[in-house]
Amino acid sequence: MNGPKLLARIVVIIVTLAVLATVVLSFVPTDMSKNIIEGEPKFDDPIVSDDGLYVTFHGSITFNNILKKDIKDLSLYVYMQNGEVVTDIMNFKIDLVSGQSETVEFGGTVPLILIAEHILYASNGESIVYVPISLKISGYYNELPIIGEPLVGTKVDMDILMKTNSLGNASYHFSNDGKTMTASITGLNFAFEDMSLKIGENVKANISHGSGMNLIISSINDTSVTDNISREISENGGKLKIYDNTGKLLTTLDEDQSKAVLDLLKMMEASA
Amino acid sequence: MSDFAVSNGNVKSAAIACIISVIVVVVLPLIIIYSVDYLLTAIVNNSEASFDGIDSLKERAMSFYTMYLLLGIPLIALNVVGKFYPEGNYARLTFLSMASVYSAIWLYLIFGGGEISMDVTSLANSVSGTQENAVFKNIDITLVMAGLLKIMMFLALFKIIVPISEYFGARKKYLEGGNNSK
Repeated sequence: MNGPKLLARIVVIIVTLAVLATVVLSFVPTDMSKNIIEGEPKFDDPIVSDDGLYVTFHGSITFNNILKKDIKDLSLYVYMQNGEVVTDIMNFKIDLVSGQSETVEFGGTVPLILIAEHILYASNGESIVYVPISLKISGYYNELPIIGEPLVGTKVDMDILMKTNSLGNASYHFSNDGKTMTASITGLNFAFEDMSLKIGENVKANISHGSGMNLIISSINDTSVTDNISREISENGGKLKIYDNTGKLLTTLDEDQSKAVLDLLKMMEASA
Repeated sequence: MSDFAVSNGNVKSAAIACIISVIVVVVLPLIIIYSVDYLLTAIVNNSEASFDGIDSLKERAMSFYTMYLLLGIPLIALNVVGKFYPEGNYARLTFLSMASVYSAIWLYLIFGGGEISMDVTSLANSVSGTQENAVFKNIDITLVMAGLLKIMMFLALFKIIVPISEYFGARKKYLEGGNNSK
């Protein structure tokens, strides 16, 4: 075989292999959860309205289009930790062009009655509501998984709620054996479904609403609520696990949050 | 035009080229078709579901192969005639270049310009168990592969650099009379 012919054959083989490899790779699905964004979405500090009824948040997310293809109809929306999507607040579609970078700003105002169902806990002796807000992205192939953990948690001082006449009052009661605690917040029309949760292994929590929010925390063994939770925290490296009524793990509180829950219960028990 | 004289050719080279072309264009596709047919028959025989529409798919595959074969005959002829002449011969360059160009056209023709449609109504009704009531009507599946076809045509055309390079690499030796074999 003469030199130029050999060279031409080698070129043909290389080009063929390169083209075939490109075609094959184009069919390999890209791991969207890793490639679609760079870095974390940014949230500004949420602002609680003067009457304590609303939380306004604002943030941005930057898409650095690492993907090779344009992405059409990408939905971006805010949702709560319990999976409830705040569609009334924001839900818009964007198109991303391959190779370009785009920053999208978003924001909205969430009524506190929508988020008050979230974790009640104490920090430095104060009663507070934790407001987890996350982003969810969909519209490309299958719905993408939730990006990371809740991206912001604003602590809404319950004192703000109490100062507002329209919110009524909070009261609580511990049984003598410490195995049952009941609490109620009246005067506010909470918008949530009744829930039955487990705090750790041996404490049950029932949250319901009527004229206000009612909370019943009780032990399912012979130990008091605070002792059960204290033991649970110490056995799990300082972290408290929250399950739904079927035993499915909903969330694991970090050490500060777990300690805050225990401190709040101890404080309530001591003053009851 | 002495390059085109039959006396320049080599029957042995042409015969080898003919065998290779026939294997690629005729035998290999037949093996694939009968292998797939064998597998489909085994699946149908081992399944409780009815696959009445499978025969229409087989007929479609056979008609596709027939077109592939008929349109492939000129490609075989061009390759055989081209390889009949020795390297450095202008006739070899001409016919093998034409073969490259024709192979791109051949791909375009057999793949219907990048869209292949087939009627799967009968298959859909039999697979879903609704053959008697014929719930599905006029279901066509169209395989759109225009992008892939363009790539395949490009690769087929790109091979034209082989006979061109071969010609310029062997021309001098050919004119000196030192390359009368393949």
